Amino acid sequence: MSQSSSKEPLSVSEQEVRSVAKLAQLSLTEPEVAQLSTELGRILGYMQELATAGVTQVPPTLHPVQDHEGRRKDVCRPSLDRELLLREAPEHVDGGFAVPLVLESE
Amino acid sequence: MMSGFEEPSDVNGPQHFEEHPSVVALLRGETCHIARAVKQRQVTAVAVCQHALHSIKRLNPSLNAFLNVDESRVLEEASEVDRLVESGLPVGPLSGVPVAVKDNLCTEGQPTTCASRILADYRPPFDATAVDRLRGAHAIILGKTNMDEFGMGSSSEHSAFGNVKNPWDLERSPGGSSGGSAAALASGMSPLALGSDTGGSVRQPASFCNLTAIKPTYGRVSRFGLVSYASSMDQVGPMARSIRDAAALLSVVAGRDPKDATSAVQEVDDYLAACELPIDGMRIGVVRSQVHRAQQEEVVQGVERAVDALRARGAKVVDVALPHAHLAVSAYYVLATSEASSNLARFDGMRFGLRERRASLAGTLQATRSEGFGAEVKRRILLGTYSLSAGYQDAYYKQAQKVRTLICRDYAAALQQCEVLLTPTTPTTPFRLGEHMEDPLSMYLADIYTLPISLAGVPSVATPVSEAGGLPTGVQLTAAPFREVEAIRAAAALEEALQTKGRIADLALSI
Repeated sequence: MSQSSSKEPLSVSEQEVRSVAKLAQLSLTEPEVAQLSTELGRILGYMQELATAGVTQVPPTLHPVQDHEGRRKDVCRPSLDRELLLREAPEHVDGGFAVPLVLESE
Repeated sequence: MMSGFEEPSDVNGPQHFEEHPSVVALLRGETCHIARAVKQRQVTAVAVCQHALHSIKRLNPSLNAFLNVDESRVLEEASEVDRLVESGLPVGPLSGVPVAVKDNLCTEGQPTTCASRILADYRPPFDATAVDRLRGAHAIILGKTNMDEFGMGSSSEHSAFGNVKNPWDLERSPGGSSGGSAAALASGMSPLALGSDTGGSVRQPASFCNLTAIKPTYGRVSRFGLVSYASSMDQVGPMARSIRDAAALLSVVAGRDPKDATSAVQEVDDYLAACELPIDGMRIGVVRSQVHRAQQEEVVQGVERAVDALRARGAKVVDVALPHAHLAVSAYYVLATSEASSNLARFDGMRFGLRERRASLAGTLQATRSEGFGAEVKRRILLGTYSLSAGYQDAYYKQAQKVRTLICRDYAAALQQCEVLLTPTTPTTPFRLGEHMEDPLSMYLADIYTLPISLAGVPSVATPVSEAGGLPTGVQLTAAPFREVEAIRAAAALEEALQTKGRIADLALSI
């Protein structure tokens, strides 16, 4: 039983897929772009049902259950050991994370 | 790079080992008996763990439920519990009980991969609070279980380290994303397990494997050290072969945690005592519109069996409606992917995890993420980025947040008319491996019954209702926020009436 074919797919162009991928810092191959344009179109097509809900006077929900203390006091606590944290770094230098050049000249 | 995964030599491969029938029986029974036997020195925690490790060696090569088992650490921690017992020192409620832990819960110094290439070599420098509390109760972390990468999936097929098989039928999926924890329980490899549930990830695998699982109220269990997927819905959830075991595990992990600002301040109730309460006069609300949407007769029959059993025990069955629940699939897949696209931005190859080095920063970022993430994770990140992007945010992200409000209101209204809602857990019995892999939307639609509960943040117990010999199916018992006791009470009555406790797939044992 296929429910998924019951709604019209939305058109998501390959150019749109590429620009969203760029925002998400993902590089996609051409076959991936083509496939995602179809898949995202079908999923987003299904999601058009959201527009049918009458929500003009309805506030948004960000968290469903509110029963926490809110903000804690700003108190210093010991943090994890530097050596332990650097153990997981792909590269480190002089007690810090080593990263590629951030400001590039173009 | 992928050391320990291509050939998980410490997990697989049989070895000569003499099994003691009494310890085997203990491991197949309820965990309170294991803890008591260890406390009373009728058995050692080491012997219990050796037997569990032996069953993993025998069964895991066929099921792929465990990704990592550190045998020497397991035995070391077990002998520490034995030392405490011998010294007459007090031990916790889970003394010597092995617990399988989903691989998105951080374990200090032990790999925590989220079944992703991007974390293949990651060893967290800390324990998740839930794991810390297990250790505090003197449970033994048996190993880390396979899952859909970062919890994104409903079949455990989206794992970078191979899929998991359902012990009840090796051609079928154990469900997901906590499929490894479910398979470990259903095959008898572990007596207890932790999973996590964002959109149904402990409830659906429980339903597919004849198990009981609890998705607690949002905030009931600390999320500290649970690798984030969708932070407004993620919850750690106990999984077991009986409601009492699941309740015992919830009692250990629940409660306020200063390390998680969203953890609830409410007092933790006595979940084990709730298992003993009668259900006379309890109002059970059946959501008929959901039952009618089930795609298989077995699922409908399971619900009817549950309704009859609860009524026979004195519950009052009423019809209730959730008029917006059918919008949950769309709302969830907008909100969860939006949150995921933000949460997973942290995987940048800079501070931990995989780094695919390129000349530029942007090149390194893109190469790391593109090599490190699997297809479903990329799909969800892209969907979330799309929903949040300029021009689309109002139609998707904001609209879905408002629909979420409608769904929350549905639950609040329905739970005024009854203590517990009864719905199916899944529209079908376990689907075949590969069945939904070519059609992501069809996989999303299979989550139709679990998602509205996740959006509303309410607690829900998934419990089996299938007849012996048939394919597994289950129901969800859902209560108002922080009223886990009501759902547990109904689940205990149902478990007793339908005799669903302690089911182990002996099919797997004959492998």
